[in-house]
Amino acid sequence: MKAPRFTPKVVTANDLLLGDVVYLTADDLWSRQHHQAELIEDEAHAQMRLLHGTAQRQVVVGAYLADARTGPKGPEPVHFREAFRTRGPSNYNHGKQADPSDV
Amino acid sequence: MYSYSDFDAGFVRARVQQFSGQVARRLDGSLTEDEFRPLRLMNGLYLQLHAYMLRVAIPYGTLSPDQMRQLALIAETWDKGYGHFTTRQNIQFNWPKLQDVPAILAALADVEMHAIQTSGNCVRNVTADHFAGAAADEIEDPRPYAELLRQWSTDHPEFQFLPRKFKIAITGAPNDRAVTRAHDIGLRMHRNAAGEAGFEVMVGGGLGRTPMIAHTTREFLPVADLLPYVEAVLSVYNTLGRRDNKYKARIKITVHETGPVEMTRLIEARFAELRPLFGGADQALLADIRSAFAPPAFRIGPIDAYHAFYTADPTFRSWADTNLAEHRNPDYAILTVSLKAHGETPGDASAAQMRLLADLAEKYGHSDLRISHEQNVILPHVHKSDLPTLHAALMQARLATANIGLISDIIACPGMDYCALATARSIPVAQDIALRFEELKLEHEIGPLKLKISGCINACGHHHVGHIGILGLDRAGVKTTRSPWAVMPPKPPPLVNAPAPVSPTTRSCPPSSVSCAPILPCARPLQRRSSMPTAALVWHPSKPHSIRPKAAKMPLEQPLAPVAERVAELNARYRHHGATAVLERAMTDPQVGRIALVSSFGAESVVLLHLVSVIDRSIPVLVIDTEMLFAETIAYQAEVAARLGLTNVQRVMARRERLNFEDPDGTLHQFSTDACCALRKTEPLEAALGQYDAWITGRKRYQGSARAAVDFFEAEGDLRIKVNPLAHWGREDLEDYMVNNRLPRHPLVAKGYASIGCAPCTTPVKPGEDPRAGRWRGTEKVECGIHFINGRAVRVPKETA
Repeated sequence: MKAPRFTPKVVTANDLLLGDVVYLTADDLWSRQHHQAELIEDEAHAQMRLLHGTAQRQVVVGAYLADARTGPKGPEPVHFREAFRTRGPSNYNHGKQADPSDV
Repeated sequence: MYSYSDFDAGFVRARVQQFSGQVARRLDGSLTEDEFRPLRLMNGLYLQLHAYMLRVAIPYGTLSPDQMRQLALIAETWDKGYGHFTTRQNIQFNWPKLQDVPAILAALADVEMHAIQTSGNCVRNVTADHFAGAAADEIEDPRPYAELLRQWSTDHPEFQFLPRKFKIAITGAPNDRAVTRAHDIGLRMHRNAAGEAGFEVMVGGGLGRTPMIAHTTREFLPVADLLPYVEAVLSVYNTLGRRDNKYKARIKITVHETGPVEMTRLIEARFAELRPLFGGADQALLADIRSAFAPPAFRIGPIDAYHAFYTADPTFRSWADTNLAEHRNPDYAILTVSLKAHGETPGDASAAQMRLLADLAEKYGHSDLRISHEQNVILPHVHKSDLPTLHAALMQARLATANIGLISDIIACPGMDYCALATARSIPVAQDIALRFEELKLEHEIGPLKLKISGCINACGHHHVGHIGILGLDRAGVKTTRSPWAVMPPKPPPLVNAPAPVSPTTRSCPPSSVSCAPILPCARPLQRRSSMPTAALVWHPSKPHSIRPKAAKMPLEQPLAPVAERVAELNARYRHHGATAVLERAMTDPQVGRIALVSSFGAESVVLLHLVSVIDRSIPVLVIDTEMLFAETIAYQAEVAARLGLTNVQRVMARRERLNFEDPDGTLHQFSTDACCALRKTEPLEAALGQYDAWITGRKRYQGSARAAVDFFEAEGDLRIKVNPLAHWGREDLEDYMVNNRLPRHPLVAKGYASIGCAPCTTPVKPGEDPRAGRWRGTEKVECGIHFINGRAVRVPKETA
């Protein structure tokens, strides 16, 4: 069977102190904004970036690779769970949707 | 209510200190997340979807006004101004920051509260009837026993590392308001013939992915034996409970696998050992605790104001009719304050609402507040003359919704709005349903109706127990929320101790309540070679030869489109559906045509047979009898057919003259397994399928590389459609389904056979092997040939196998 094409990924995690959702950028920072994340299109590179993210144990918790795709502003989430993580809950205007700079 | 002793206060303070140190060490890097995680969980701190979440226990659901005010203060100071009351009498704060948690825990300790054992594999918050101490039907207030259990279980050295979490619920009334049968241990007080109070002890209940009703292990337990008996249950569980698989680790599985009778015996044996060790200190303590739960000094006064308002004010009347329950003192009422205002989040209360409730409880409710597992707040002792004033005050804060027990009084878990485990959102579904029924103004007319919503199979929203249960699922990243079953009896039955309908936990299983429905015995169970037939097909003797599947009874309006076209269309349409939807469609759709199920009655066949039997027991079930089957398979065929009430099982055999010619001495399989399969399976089946447009198989993707691309619908050339409803099921799904529906297992499974074919060519498989590795072991062959396509169901060429 032909190996399926690699789905692009972003490295995402939760901030250690605040618990809010963060994304690994190409310049090794953690952004609160999904569209600022590094969109990783190569599987081997994705593993390296995940290791890099996981190693920052004093900054983030629970790093993992999430499917993403290119959008007009930058990477966009694919799964609705990841879309929810970029915004916050639906019942209150809390989380990133209220103030992207804070939780 | 109970007040902390110096020991309690010191213990909780010490824990706050300890956790403060742990947080500090996490922040300075001396603790890794792997080391810190279990420590924070032991203190109720989770990491959720958008933030940390702190779960605080409200033991037996009882709060003082000061405690409620402190919760409001915490919500305002360190959270976003609200808290969420859960279905296990906890409150959850959704936005705390890690470095603030020690301060929050200290603030809780100030009012004798904590978050200890609200997570982890230990005894969780002991929950109780929220009407405790007030209900008219109550034998005794259960909360002293709950407090005794809390003290005994907190930091109990033997039970800090159980196989899995452990939940206890207790009620002092014969009417169960604490969902006792869905707990690891449920305790229901009743009186014996001598008039003494005691507990019915129920063990092994639970919801989640494997919903089970608890078994009664002791009909009547004297109250003095409570601690030793509960300790005996935990002790047996701690020894026998599985630690190899977290999905099989709850005591309900232990009870299921050990058997309730054996479990009862083990518990009683352990109890006999433990009982003498309890020398009476527990009873002395219980007496002390009991004095703390003395009923309040009820006021004596006229209740005319209540009656006057009730007659004059329809809004008040409607609220009183739904939100009041009978108090043991006829001048009093139990008031349930709804946290389910239409369009609001079920179970959420703002800091302002919490403060108002605290004030009102102080002024009109003998300073007593309760949180129910139904996510509402209760003022258990309200003098009826105060109700009009209370109602007016509650109206101001949107707390006077008259909907208790109605369809908009929805239990909903936080779902994917907050929870990291959730597969779907449940809050918006609850909000929409409540708003819709409010618009229709129908709910009072509909009457009592329990609607429960869970955002994943862990069932925090109790979706298995109620009149309508909704389970949110994720299918291929597409938002789906479906009601797997909905039963609306004309008059809702009491939810008390009745075996609750058990709904599916794995994707698209049919309700297992169906399996409890009377199953008609098979008119004539299969009989092995009662008369040796010579025809290719052995028709069931009770069925006319011309029996046809349901779909074929209706004349087709137009000839069927080419198979490939229909298959593509069906696959596109059912891409996001599950097994039941696919089966229902396949069994009724004229596009599919005449259909039969082909079953081997092998290791897992019973799942598909059950799914089909729920939809239509008269579907033709074709069984290939190669005359080489295990005796166990033959017996199992009869057992399953009878159990599921299948009325049209047909045995398919090779024609006698073909056998006499090709394999007269029954040794062909030793020379060519392929030729043997062709003779005994493929040819007869091909002949039998000649009159069908489609057939259902149990093939699954996980069953080995040759089946990795199996789809729901497949074209067999342009002959017929092959339907594979279980294509996407995994081994776990099948296991769960068989357990949930109490289906009989093939006797050879216990002997290590994971896939069962003919006796000469099947061997057991070792752990870790491909389940089908035991078929035709030592050869290249992996498929018998009936499942290969290319125009006809033909024998598989060796090189492609």
